[in-house]
Amino acid sequence: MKDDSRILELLEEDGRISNKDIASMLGLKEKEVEEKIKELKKSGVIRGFKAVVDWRRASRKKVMAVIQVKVIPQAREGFAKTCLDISKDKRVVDAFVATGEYDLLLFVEAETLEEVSGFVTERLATRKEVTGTNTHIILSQFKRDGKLFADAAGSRLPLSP
Amino acid sequence: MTKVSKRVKGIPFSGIRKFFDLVSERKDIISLGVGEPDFPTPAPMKDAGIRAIEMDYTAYTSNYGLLELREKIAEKLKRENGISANPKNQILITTGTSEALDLSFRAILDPGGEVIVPEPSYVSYNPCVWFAHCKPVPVPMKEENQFRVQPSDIKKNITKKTKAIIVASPNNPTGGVLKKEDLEGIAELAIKHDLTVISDELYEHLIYDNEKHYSIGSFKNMADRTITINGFSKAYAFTGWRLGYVTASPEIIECMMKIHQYIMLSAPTISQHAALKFEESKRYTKEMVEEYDKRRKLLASGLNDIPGLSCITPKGAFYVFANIKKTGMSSEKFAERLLKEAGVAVVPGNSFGESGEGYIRMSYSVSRESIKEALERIKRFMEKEKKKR
Repeated sequence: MKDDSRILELLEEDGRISNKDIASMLGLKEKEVEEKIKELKKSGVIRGFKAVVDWRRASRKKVMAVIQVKVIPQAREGFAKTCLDISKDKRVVDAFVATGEYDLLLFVEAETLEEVSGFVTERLATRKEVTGTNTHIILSQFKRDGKLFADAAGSRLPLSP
Repeated sequence: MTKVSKRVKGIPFSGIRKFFDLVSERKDIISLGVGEPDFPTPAPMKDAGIRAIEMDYTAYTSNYGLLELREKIAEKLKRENGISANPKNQILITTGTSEALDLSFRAILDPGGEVIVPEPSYVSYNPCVWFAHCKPVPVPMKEENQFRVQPSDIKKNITKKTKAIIVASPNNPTGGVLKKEDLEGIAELAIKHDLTVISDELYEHLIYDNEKHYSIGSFKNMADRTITINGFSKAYAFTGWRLGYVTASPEIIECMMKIHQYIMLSAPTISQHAALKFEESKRYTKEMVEEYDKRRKLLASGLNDIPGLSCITPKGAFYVFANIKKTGMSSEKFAERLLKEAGVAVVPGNSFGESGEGYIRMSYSVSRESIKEALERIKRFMEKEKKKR
């Protein structure tokens, strides 16, 4: 179990790290690492691998928003069904049920502001259990998925004793 | 006409310095030549430093350093190192451990003495001995002994003129860590021949594989003949703050203080205030060590996968001392060509004394990404080299 979480930590930092490097850093055999990762994928602990992209530096821009949603909990399902339904929209990148004034917290990415607006008016506002939304358009970002988007400050001499 | 001291002129520049100019000319290099942490100073220490400036704590301190800091250091020495030191007259705060080294030699040596320096060694030991008008006597540490100095080798080099032995564990540049029995052997020799031991313990917290650090000053009958040097640079990513400390008998500290008060007056005040928070910063050290450990294994195993190169996985510090003897090149030639042809900077082993010839020092105080890229480049360099032959 301890090995599992250490492997997961390394993969969370760098999804493209080789099994060989994981093995040497954790003092395991490459084959063991391969097996464990296979298990972790199979059991749904590892849900996928993806790049952390700073779209502002890419040629194609994206609009990002954090949307808080107020929902009337449904019989038997609470917030789960609503959250899952909304999550199926491709524009939703993260979806959480959370404590506080609002019930759902959605991270949305789209090509244009109109698309975000469309999502709110057509996908959220039209649902009868949704009683309110609060949309925050992201102005700038400094860190995502554990990666800082700022260039490293501070400098060291290239050689020192 | 400008005149300079013949004596000083005769002392060579550090091998690192020579190489520095070559590296500075190049762009897009990955440098594994760094000798300092790549982490920021822990937040509690930074905050305390900022607060010290805001509170106008910017005057000199006592020559010895802030008493409050010396008291905290005394507690630390007791708890972690088994060393009892009176904070009033047995601890001196210095401007980095570099100053503490210089003071140590000048405080205990008279001209004509000899100091045993296990090699490969930190670049300042020999010059500091020269500055004290004495002679460093190198004792080679061998790779087959995990770069641990052997008491029997020290014994062979003890003469009537020998005054002191340097102990540096964990070691820069080799990453070697001395075992308790090694230190016991050295202590025995020191007692038998009435020698002082100067123990440089700057890397004590950067230690891996459940190895344990021992302070020779805590050994029986060693308290009065040991100068223990330490500082905040490596454990707390504190290099630019320039702060170290030294503990020894009241007599030795008094002599060191005499020099210190004339040449330095006191260590940087702001840095001393920042250092007051070192105990609160321990968890940062722990995180750094965990990361160094991963990089250490990554670099060592990567190097051992490259035909023609090899290294032992070091137990301490943040250096791998890699063996390049199979290439047939001198360490300087190898480092120069690696820089020019592969864009990777390392420090040639001979910068640390003759017994470092045939090795290069590679620091893993750089990101894992840089280590991977450097290994790729070194691999390609070695493959090209192999084809040529």
